[in-house]
Amino acid sequence: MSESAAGEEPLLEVRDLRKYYFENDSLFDRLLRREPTSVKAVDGVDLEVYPGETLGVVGESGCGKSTTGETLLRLREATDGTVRFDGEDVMEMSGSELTRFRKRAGIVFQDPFSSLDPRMTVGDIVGEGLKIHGMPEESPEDGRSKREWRRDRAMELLERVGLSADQIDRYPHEFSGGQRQRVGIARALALDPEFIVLDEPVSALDVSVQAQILNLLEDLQEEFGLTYLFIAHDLSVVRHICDRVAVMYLGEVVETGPTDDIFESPKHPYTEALLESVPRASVDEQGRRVDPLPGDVPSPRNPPSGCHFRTRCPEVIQPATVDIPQEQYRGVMNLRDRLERQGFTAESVWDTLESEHGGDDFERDTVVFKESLREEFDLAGLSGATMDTVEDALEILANGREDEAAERLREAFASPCEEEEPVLTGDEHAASCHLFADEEYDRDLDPEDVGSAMGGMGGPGPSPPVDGDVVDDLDPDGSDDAVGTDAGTDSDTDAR
Amino acid sequence: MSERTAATERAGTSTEDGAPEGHPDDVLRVRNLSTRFFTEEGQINAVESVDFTVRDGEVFGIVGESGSGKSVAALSLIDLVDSPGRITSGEVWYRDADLADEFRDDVPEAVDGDLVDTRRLPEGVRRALRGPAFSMVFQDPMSSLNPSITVGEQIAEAVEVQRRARANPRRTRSRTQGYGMGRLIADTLLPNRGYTSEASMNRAIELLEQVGIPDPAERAHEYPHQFSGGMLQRAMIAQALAGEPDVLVADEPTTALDVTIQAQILNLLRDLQEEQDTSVVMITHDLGVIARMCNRVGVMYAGQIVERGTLSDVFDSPVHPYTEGLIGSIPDLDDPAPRLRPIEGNVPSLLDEEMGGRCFFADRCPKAMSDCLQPIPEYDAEPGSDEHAVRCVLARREHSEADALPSDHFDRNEEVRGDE
Amino acid sequence: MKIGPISISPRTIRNLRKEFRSSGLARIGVVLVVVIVLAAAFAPMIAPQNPRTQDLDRAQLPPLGFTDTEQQTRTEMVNGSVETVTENVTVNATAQHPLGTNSLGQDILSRVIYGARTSLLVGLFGTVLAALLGVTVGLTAGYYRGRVDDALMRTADVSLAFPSLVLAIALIGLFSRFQADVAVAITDPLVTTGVAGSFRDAVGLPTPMPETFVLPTVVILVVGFVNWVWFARIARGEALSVREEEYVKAARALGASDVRIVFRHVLPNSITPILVLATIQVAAIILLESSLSFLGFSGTTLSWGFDIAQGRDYLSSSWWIATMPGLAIVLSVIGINLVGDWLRDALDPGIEGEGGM
Repeated sequence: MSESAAGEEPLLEVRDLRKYYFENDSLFDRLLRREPTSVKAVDGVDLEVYPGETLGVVGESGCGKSTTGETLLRLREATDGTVRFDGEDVMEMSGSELTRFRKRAGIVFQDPFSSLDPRMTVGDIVGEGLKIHGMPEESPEDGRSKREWRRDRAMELLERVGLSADQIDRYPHEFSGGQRQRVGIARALALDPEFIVLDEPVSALDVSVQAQILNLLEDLQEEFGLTYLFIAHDLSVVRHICDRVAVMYLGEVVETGPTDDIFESPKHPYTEALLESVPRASVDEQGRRVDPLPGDVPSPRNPPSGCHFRTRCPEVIQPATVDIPQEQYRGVMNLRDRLERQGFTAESVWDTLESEHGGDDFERDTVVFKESLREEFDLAGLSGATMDTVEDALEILANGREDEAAERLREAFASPCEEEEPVLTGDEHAASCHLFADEEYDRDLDPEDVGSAMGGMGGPGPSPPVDGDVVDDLDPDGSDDAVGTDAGTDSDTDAR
Repeated sequence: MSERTAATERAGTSTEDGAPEGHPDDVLRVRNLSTRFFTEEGQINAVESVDFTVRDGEVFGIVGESGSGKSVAALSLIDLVDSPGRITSGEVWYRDADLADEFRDDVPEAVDGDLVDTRRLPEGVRRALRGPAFSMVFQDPMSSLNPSITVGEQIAEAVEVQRRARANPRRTRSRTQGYGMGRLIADTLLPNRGYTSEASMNRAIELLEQVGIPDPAERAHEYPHQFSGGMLQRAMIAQALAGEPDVLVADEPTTALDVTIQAQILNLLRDLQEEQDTSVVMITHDLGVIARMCNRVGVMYAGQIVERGTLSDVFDSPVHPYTEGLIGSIPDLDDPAPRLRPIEGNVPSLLDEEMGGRCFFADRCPKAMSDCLQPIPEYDAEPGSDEHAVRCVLARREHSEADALPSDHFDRNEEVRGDE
Repeated sequence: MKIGPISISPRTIRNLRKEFRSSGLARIGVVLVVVIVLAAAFAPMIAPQNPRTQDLDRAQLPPLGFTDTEQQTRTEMVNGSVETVTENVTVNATAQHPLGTNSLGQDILSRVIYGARTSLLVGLFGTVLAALLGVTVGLTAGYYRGRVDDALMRTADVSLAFPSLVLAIALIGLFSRFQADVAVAITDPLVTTGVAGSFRDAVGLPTPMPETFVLPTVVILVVGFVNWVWFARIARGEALSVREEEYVKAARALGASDVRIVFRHVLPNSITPILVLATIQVAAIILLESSLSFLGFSGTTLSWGFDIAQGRDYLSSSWWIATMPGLAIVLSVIGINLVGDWLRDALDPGIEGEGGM
């Protein structure tokens, strides 16, 4: 994107990185004419890391953060995209260039138990990098052999990370988890790198040890001028150690910005939900009512169209023709998602009703069917045309015509979130969400512009853009069919 | 900090007749529970003289790091400790009027009013209590459910066991629990005779719905690998609740789950607990989860409960330096401190021969004094305090430099296994 | 302790000792193996006779502790006419031939002792060859996967489709066409330096002993080519799992080349099952060699299998001719397998040194 406030160039620049895993792609599958499916582990990631800073990458399992970390170090081959390290394209590096790159960029892994070769002494592990790169290049002047030099260096590194040098000939299994992680850090430091990817370095450690390691990492960063990419799922740790944060969901970056900004005024609904869900270690937590994000993360084999988060987003945008309470809209969208992507069948509902009502004597009653679905998806309380549409769809569904019902609902309720993919918008604090990027998706519509949909009062909209944020124009050719471009952007006339 | 000179040593830590004192609402009172593992390398003191109580309808938390003994303590509660481990001493008093009546004459020393010491009951009876009285939810749902049986079938099994137990309690206390080899062969060979009935399957589907699994009738016929982590944990909770237990023991139920899923599951546990008035013993290492869920907390270190009390006792006025250290080493989500304050050193070995007869935290404690070199009993944190107890001399006196131990006092005796 | 790239940690040695102390079977196995190895090494010194010396007058003597009755026919002059007299003669054992003699009068004990050499040499060298071939193929297939893996493993499958004995015979037939001299004769240092001679003189055993012995190279080669598959399978399995370990990823992140990773990381961590397999293979190869000798394919006559073939016709009368070498095979195989068990139990990574909850 651009330069940081200090006007520096980023040390690492990632653009549109993609890593897909293709299944069903062997010769055999092709003979059987099977379509190659792909797991889109990383699906278009943009990142920058500036010299000397710590960029945090957070997300839950399956978001692709670890894969991103490994791919940008070229430990896995990317499917697409560019990674520039100090101006050079990592993906295009040749053998010797890659070897030089390996000296400048290192990695520390998550699991202290499997990241150290159990058959090597700790000294050998730490010194391996030196051996690989033929260091020292010349025999040291003070008469030591090259081997001795390496050994001394290994002892130095062990001391630096808080272990004692006389443990150099011990094996990994003789150390605790925290100590092993220190060995892993020493290993990464051996080649004097500028940049280190830390892939969940403290997740497998006890809380008290975690604090020791975090302090160590901070000290080392200061002493050696290191730049960190800190991958984690624990938000409190990220808040503590990172200067900037990127939040990932299902292979994409949904929000990025300075740490305090992200944690205090998150823009993306997923970031909000994430922060909301984390339990705080304080007495006030006890009374806190948490509204968790419903459902599970969709499979990366089949990510939702448009915005990947739309299937769970509490603030999914209603089309201009619809204006109903957000809960109900979310309910309709959930029903649609189940029908379209999760293989929901009317039969399964009948089965459930049957077992509830005592087995074989149960007679299929459409009224009961519709009532049960209305309850499950929070669809009560609609009125007018929207209610008619929903009732029709439920009726069609009760008769077993799932596709038709889905189509009916889609016609009426298709959200801009599913049709257009949002783009990371913003300067320092950027989010990938239509609510943030497009002015027209502000919720303050005049009642007149709502058209035929006479839903209830305007639902609770998203918080309008904070003053001072720059919003790029996402729609250069103005082809959006937004109703009422004079929708108020003034936060005071919010009609909630 | 209040004056501690009048702090009293807690009564009830030695074996006395009758149940230990506590609140009239207590459903569980544990006294002096110790569990040891007798391995080739020596005796491991996993749980050491643990006392705590759990009230009706409350969530009691046990927090500790790895090696603290919290999981073993949970397993000891419901008698799930396998050889080479054994519960070597202690009483687990459980409130059940019917059970008390049943054994009042046969085992009078194990009954006190409505409370029964389950440790002194026959093994069959303890086993029969699992399900209707106690039940457990484990950490990793993927490995806690049988991958070759459908989820519905497993839950139906749990329901069926409870149904049969209620119908015929004597039978289920026998070694075969009313279902021996003969029945197994008959059920396998003869058609239409499975262990579970349609009624229990329907109840299983009902339970799946109760825990928030969509399309329960369909999902009941699926296998565990077809469920996501969160769904599977819900299914486990459903299975645990099949018997309508009084006490649910949850051992790190959300540790393996993502944070947003964890929030769902914690909400679910809360809701179910309130609806069914179940007491929950929540074991975790995450202080945030403790704060969200629990009313009262016990902090475990090296097999002992070093501090216990209400949430505000432990979080806002901790006495034990380990508790302080634990709280200080956690980064705060809302208010980042510039530097964390970790606890130096490593968790101690639990081998009997390596543990000194002293406070087990002394070698890492910034406030260690000469008083700490003997076994420390549990004291009231404030004089007359009913709730807040702590195993630390700081409950009785102030820390003073004059008595402080030199910082290398323990180095001579330690193996070459530590750092810093 | 290091053997090349493979370092044996003190913990491994401790485990080996512990297992040895606690398992009676392990001790039996080690004893058996040690006895056989010593017998083979010092054969010229301890064998009572020269195994090749024939003495038809003393053929088919029974082993010590047994007597045998034989029908002997003689032609005699009785009263001027030639008559054949048949009488039953009791044949006694003698201490000179403690295990008896075969139909050519050769001492069985000496043949058994020398036969140990053949079996051990073939077993050892055959295993080493099979291991080198198989482990290389297996590690390559497992580490690189994909088409390389497919190609190599299909070759292995083809090889496995043949029963090993049949394949061995076929290969021997193939090789013997190219080499008239099927075996290599090696001089025995103990004999040529006179050490054996002076020892035997001192002890009073007859001399001289054979100066050379035959190394059945073709059999070794063939056995190697037949048995590499087992090593390949195991090595591949290990490589497949080890390559996923994080320390392999870490090595790549440091810039290590594939070759370095395979030799420095994958191989040492795969060594345990390979080692256990190797001991079992030695036993299997000894059996294979015996079968080949029995059928006459081995190229040496000083072999347990060969002796069994010889004694086959005499099983009902001079049963010891076939039974003694047979017993030798049984004891060797049992001993080696017990040692294999000992290694496996001691080196099994499932036995963790750390306890703790």
